[in-house]
Amino acid sequence: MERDSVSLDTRSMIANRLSALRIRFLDVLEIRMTECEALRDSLEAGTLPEADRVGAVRAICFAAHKTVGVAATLGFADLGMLSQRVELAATDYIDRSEPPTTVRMVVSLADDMLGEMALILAEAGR
Amino acid sequence: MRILAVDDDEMILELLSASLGAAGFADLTVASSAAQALEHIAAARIPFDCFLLDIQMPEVDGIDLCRAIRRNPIYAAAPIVMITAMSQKSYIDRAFSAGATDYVTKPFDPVELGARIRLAAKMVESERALTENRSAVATLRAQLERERFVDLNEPISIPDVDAVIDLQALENYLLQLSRSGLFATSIFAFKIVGIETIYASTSPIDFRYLLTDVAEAVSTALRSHERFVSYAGNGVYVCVAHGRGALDLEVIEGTANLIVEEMALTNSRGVPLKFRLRVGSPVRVGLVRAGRGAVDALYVAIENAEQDAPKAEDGRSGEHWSQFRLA
Repeated sequence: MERDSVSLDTRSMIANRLSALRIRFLDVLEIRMTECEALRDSLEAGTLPEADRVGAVRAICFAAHKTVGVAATLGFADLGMLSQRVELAATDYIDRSEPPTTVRMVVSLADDMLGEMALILAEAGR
Repeated sequence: MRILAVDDDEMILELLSASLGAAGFADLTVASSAAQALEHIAAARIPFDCFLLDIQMPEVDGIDLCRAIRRNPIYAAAPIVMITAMSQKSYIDRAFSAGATDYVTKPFDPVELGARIRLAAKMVESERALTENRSAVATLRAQLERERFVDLNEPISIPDVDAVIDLQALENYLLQLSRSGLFATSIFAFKIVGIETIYASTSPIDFRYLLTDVAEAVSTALRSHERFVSYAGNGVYVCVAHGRGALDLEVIEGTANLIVEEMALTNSRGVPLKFRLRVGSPVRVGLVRAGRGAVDALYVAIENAEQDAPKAEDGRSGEHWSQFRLA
């Protein structure tokens, strides 16, 4: 019983600290979403030279990686999962893994991630 | 407990600070790169007790940083917990090979992280109790360690042998492997036949040397496989090996015995130490045995080795092992 109550105290302390971090995460998410939308648009346009296209996928991969690391811990499990899919697909594209991953697949998964980001921000009144 | 956390993501560092603070670990120093971490380590007047390292960082990654920390004798036994979003087995293998003692994947549960760090704190405490004085010079510590009484059943640390890690670290490694990571994994154990007789007739220092030499023989016999080996006490070495296809344990056993034979081991008075190794029945870990099941398999393998090995030499000590010579 004592152990459970210690655990509850700890959990409530963690929840308090995480709620402050969640607000900061939403600030970061707004910026990240804008950046990823621009990258996604440039990829979808299909006019980028090869090196720039890989650079754009790499930048989306990096943004997704950063999101995977914290989203679920802060209560955004779906965003974490969608970001992980983007990271894995983008990594496969960059590494030219077989079977080949296309830019279209990365963009499609990025759309899912961006949609979830928009939903989270809308629900937070932003 | 003084903790150094290293991650290039500021948000992760804040999450760690919040999680560890709530778990009662407030003495946290953070660094956003390996270079900054090494500066903190060099400037620390009181050594850190524990490290939390992100793997994927620009320039120097967390695995190289782990290796650099381990090279410092002050941190030879400090807990190093790797924290990363990547759960691929190759990263886990590299991290443990570089000296990591535990592994947590992002996103992490703050409560679970606190529990892991409490486990690390226990390691720190037992290490302190063992050495009594952390500021003692390394040679004195090594001497104390060598002369310390060794219990036959104690799973002692065997340092500086390739792919040989502590039993606790091996458990942590298995707990973190995914189901797919466990695919084509074999777990088995070697036992030194007649270990009780050897233990009774050797000094603690000779016994430690013997265990180290045998660990080297076992690890070398398995060198064509991805593997980890741990000493589990009572003359038993438990091995985790990866690779498609069945392992030929008869060949591996013969090779390990050949290496031991060619070492021509003696005690410190020059008396030859003759014994042989017997391998126990392997446990082939199926797809359903991730997590705790894999750790249970470890102990089944240890038990198999205990049961399969004869209690004393059974007249086979004259066997010839030369056919098992490594290429």
